[in-house]
Formats: sequence, structure tokens, C-alpha cells
Amino acid sequence: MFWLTIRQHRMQLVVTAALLAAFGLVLLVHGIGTRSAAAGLTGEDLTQVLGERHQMLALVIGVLPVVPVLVGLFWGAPVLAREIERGTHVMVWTQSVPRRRWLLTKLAGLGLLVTLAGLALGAMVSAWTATFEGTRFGYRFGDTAVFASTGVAAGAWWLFAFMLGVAGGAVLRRMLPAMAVSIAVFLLVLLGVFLYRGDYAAPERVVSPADLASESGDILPAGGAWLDPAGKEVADVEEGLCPERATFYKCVADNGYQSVSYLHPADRYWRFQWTEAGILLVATVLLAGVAYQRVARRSV
Amino acid sequence: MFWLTWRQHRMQVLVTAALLLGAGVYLLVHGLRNADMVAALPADPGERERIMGERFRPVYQVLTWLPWAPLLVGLFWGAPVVAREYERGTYRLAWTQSVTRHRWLATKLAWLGLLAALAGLAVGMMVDAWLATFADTRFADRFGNPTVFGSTGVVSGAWWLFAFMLGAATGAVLRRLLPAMAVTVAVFTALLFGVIGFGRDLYAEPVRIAGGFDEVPRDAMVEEYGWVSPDGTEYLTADLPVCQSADRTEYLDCLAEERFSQAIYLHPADRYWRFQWTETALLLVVTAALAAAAGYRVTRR
Repeated sequence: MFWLTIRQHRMQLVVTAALLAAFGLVLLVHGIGTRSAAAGLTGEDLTQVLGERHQMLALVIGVLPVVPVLVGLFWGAPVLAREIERGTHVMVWTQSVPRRRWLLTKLAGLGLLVTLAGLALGAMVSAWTATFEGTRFGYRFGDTAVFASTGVAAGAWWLFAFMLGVAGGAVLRRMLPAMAVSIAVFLLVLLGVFLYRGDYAAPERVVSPADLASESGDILPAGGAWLDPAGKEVADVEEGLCPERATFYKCVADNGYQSVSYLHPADRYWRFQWTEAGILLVATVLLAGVAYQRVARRSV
Repeated sequence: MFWLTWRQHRMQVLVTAALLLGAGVYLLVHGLRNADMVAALPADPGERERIMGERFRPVYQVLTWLPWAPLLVGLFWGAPVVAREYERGTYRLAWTQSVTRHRWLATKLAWLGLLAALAGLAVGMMVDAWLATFADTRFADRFGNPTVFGSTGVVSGAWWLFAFMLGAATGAVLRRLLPAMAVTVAVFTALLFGVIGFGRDLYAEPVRIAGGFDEVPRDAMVEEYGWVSPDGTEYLTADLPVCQSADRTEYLDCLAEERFSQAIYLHPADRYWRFQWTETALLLVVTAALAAAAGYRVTRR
């Protein structure tokens, strides 16, 4: 069965492996270049050089969170939809291998490979991000796109997208509609996660002087407010208090205001990674259940 | 033939139309409420910008993904046109009727291409109209902002048409749906990155403007910043002979002390239409070549 799975899906395997290797090579060469360009530099100079190096690949890194949707389209959707659309399931499900085992082997084998590929991508992006350490270009928690493409979350997103494609194919039984629905659902889930990631934990409350530009570091911001002179938290400073924009923060501070920021500190990175991976794995199991139920219940 | 085209591809057309309608209604409602917001804005420019930015950003975050929308047209409209017929063997039936296969292909590509282009133009008009509600602020930028540029004006229609033809041509060449879709994704992605990353800079020679950051005219496409030393030599920021060790807060002061002035290379906002037509023309040439490739593959078989 494992051989059959590999044989039927080897094209996806080969192309994915080749693309990962090529992208890894680009990141490696670029990372080495960044290290040597930044060697010995400090201060504004370092930030400047790292910023220029980062700019070269920023566009590509920014779209990485949607890359798993391709796994859903090209790995996931065909697994069931193509068999049913071509009628080959009639042959496949009447062999000595029961169809439950056929499906479980496919889902387990391909799911494992997809997860490993996602984790590999995550490791590569993490290593690349580390070459910018110490500047805002190296943020992996505060940067929404990088967070989803590093660590365990990267593997979970790939697996989720794969299972979404499979379940879409199992329910709709036709490839193109399954692909379209996979894209739509994936984008909605991605948008939802981006919007509500801050809710994985209660944010920390940090009060700081209003006129001090805070060097925040690799945190996940979760809103801000003002602490008025009476110690009450308000959304905005009193209207018309500080009309001058250039001196706004100094003026606000002189009037006794303090700034309140809600944030998740950098050391919550792994906790958030596991939370996101956990949520996606639950969704994956549900989708696998849908696919299993559809296949096991269906008469050939 | 028109009836056949519609009948075979109506699902794609209807879903696209529904999505466009949804997006259009949302942008319309959001834009109309923008007008109310603009009317009630306070006089303070900083406060104005903050309020407008809060209104702008959530929608903009979604709009930045619009340059990728044509790819879906390539996948779901373009790739199946020929590849699905081959893969299912239905081409044998389709091409042995009274309609010649030239005409079969030409009609399909022409009608679906026209619809794709019209849909793209509609997207461009909707985004343009929405941006216009942020009149005369930097939020309305459609030239200086590379992601918005491709989703406005005529070039939006050209991208949609190009993506459709890319899918159709790869389907005709590869004759299988999944590989055609994969190649469409790869080619489209490479081209989009190429155009946004460095292609547009080549459409014209940039204008040089001497002066500080404050001199950058609104909605200009900035290419490069340089520094001019007191003796008239020009340097890029990374190659500056002075102030290299200054940190961010003192950097500009240090350069001012050394009597360096700034030079900016940019394309001013009034080149918007020139760049729009340049990119449209380039995409149309590629589209024509792709259509010819599809025609060649289908008729020669």
C-alpha cells in the first residue's frame, strides 16, 4: 500500500522536494551573504545593511503563509477526487486491501511527508531569520507571516492544508470544485488566525512613560491605551489637549499621561507555536474524520 | 459555440461574478462611509491621518493580496479549457463535430478571455473608486504603492487576461490538468515577483530630485536614494564615506553637519497612465504569444 501511495503521488513528492531544496539553497546562500555583509558592523550601519539584505527576500517571505494552500491543491484534493472523478475508485476499492486501510495508509503516508516538508521549510526560514538577529528584521513572533512559516506551526499548516484538500475532495467528489473550496476555506482560516492570534493567551500589561520611544523587541502587540493623570485607563487622551503633532508625546507626558501597551513577550513564541499547531491539528483530525466517514459509508 | 462555452464554464463565471459582486458591495459601502468620515474629520493633520489610517488599514491588508487574484483565473478558468478535454478524452467528440477545432478554440479563448479581462477591469475600477474616497492623502496612493498599482486601472484587466491565457496555453501544451495548474502557479508567481521586484523600474528613466525626504512628491514611485557630498560627488547610502558609525537618531544630523544633501530618483505620479499602458502592452504581447502557442498545439495534433 505504501508503495502504491508513493507511486501515485511521486510527481508531487519530487516537485515539492525539488522546490524545497531550491528555496533552501537560496536561503542558505542569502544567509551566508548576510552574515558576511554584516560582519563587524554596529549601530545604524548594521541596521541599514540588514534592512537592505532583508528587502531582497521580503516579498517572498511575506507570501510564505499561503504556500500550504498549494499542498492542499496538488497533494490533498486529488487523493480522493481524482479517483472518484475518473471512476478508478471502483477498481481500487474492490481489491484485497479494504478501502478503510487504503484511505488510512494514504492519509498517514502523505500526511507524514507533508508535515515533514512543512517542518523542513520552518527550520530553513528560522535559520534564515536568525541571520538578522538583534534587529527588527529578525522578528519571528512579532512578524505575522514569519510566525506561521517557522517552528512547528509551519508543519501544522502544511498538514492542515493537505487534509483540507482531501476532505474537500471526499465531500465534493470533483477535483476543480474541491480545489476552489480548499482555497476559499484555507484563506478564511488564515485570515481568522491572523486576526485572533493575540487571543491565545491573556496579554501582559506594560505601563511606560508616554514620551519614551519604547524599544519593544520581538513581541506580539495586542492593543494599547493611555493612563490618565488620575490613574484611569482611557482609549484616547483628552481631546484638544495636545494639538501639535511634532511635540505630541512630550506634551502628553508633561500632562501626566502614561502609555499602556498590551503585548505578548518574545518568550511566548513557543507557547503560541504549540497553541497554533494544536488548533490546526484538531481541525485536521476533524477533516480526516469527514473524509474517512465519506469513504467508509459510500457504496462503490 | 457561445452557448457551449457558457454551458461548460458557467460555474467559473458565476462564482467569479458572485465574488466580484460581494467585494464590490463591500467596497461601495465602506467607501460611502469613508465619505461621511472625511466630512467629519478634525482639522489637526496628525489626527486626520490617524483616523483615516484606522479606517484604511483593515481593508488594505486584504487588498494587498489582490495581485494574486488573476492566478485563480488561470487555475480555474484557463487550465481546464483544453487540458480537461484531453484528460477526459472528450476532445475526440468535441473536435469531430461540424465546428472546426480552430473555431472551437478561438471562440472559447475569445469569450472567456473577454470575460476575464472585463472582470479584471471591474476590479480595477472598484479599487480605484475605493481609493478615491481617501482623496489627497497618502492612503490614496496607487502609483507609489506597487501592490495597488497592479490592481487598478487597465493593467488589472491585462493581468486577468494574461493569467487566463497562461492557464489555457499550459493546459494545451501539457495536456493534463494538474501539471498545467502547477506550471501556471510557478510561471505566474515568477512573473509577478519579477514585475513588482524590479521590472517596473525599467519602464522609464527616473527623474532626479535634489532635496530631503520631505521633498518626495506624493504618490511617486521612488527608486533610489543617494547623497551628494559638498564637492558634488554622489554616493548611495551604503557607500557613504562619513557617518557610518552614527546610530539611527544622530544619522541624519551627522550627514547634515557634514553638509551632505540628498538626491532622490523617482517616477512622478503623472507617469501613472504611461506605466499602466506600458505594463498592459507587455502583458498583452505575452498573452498573444500564449494564445498562439495554444492554437499551434491544438491544430497540429
